[in-house]
Amino acid sequence: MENTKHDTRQANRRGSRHLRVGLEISPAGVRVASMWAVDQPSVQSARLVEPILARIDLATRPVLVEAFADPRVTRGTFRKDLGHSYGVEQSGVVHVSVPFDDLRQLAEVRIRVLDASNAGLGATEPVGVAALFDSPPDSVRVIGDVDTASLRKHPDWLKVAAALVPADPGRFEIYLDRAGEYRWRFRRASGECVADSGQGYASREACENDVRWVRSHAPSSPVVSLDLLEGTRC
Amino acid sequence: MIVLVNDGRPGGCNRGDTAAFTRGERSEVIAHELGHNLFRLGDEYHNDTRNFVGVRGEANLTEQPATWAALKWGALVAAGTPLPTDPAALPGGWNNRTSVGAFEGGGANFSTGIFRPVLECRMNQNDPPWCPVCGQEIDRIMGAF
Repeated sequence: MENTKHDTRQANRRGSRHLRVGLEISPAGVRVASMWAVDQPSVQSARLVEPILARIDLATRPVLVEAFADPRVTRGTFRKDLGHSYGVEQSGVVHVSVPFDDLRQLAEVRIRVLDASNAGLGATEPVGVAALFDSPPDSVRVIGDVDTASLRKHPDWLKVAAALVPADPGRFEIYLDRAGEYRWRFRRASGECVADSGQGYASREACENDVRWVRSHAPSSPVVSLDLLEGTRC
Repeated sequence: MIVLVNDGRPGGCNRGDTAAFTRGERSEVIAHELGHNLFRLGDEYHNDTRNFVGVRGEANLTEQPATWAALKWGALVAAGTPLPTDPAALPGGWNNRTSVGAFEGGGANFSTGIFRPVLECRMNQNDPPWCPVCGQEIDRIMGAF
């Protein structure tokens, strides 16, 4: 029984991480309203009940379908003997998940949104909902879609990229040169050398001291643009 | 997405996948709302007399099935329970919160054409706990996590 639950959990997960994309739905269609990265898989719901449907494709392949209550409808909290109260707005936001394992997959995202309020679909399983997007019946209204280009235009994209692209940690190396002196150099993770000690040290301790000094002072050191000073040649 | 508002007065609303509650809202009300937002459960109350026509997707509401043997929560109905179930003629030993049948009325607005599983549930009156049908759906959805 426990194994069955575990298998179900695994089967419903999509990607190792996901983008959470806020989509504003209005009479003009769909536009990206917000975006952030989540370090968790998306979960594919087995039954889709709500009328606003979204299909997320990566490289033209559907990877997730989601359903939402109509975000243009505001429902007041339940009150005894009164029930809910309702209001209708011009626009509203739903948040879709774009699951991925590799950042390169985000190069070809497409999110399509349909309104099936009048279709009377009931609860529908994901494969059936995904197929609706290929040839929507007359009872289903196409609201709009967004793609990678739309995501990239949004200001949140830069924050997402900064959060997702792993920082290049680089590394300091201490080594002995041909003269038997100690030196240090700094390499990117790719192996490229971008800085070195410029001198040999007679002792390892002196070399380590300068590595410590560079590590502690470099982050707050100013950049002096000698190249921009007229007539300066170094 | 859940937004908590630092206000002592009761209140809140839901839009799309976003719910907002004040800190003064009753926990039973918030639980009812999360029944909608997290578990896609429908309202089991009705305060109108409309007739429902169509298909209900929620786990705890159904249109009249083609045959009562096909009732979506049929596995939770005890043998001998009449379907549909008349609240005025309940079998002996009936528990309004845990005994499952098919009572006409629900979905907030419909007194006919739609059925709910129990007489008292969080999705009907707020204060009772969720019924066996709602509980099963909550367990199914949470199982994915």
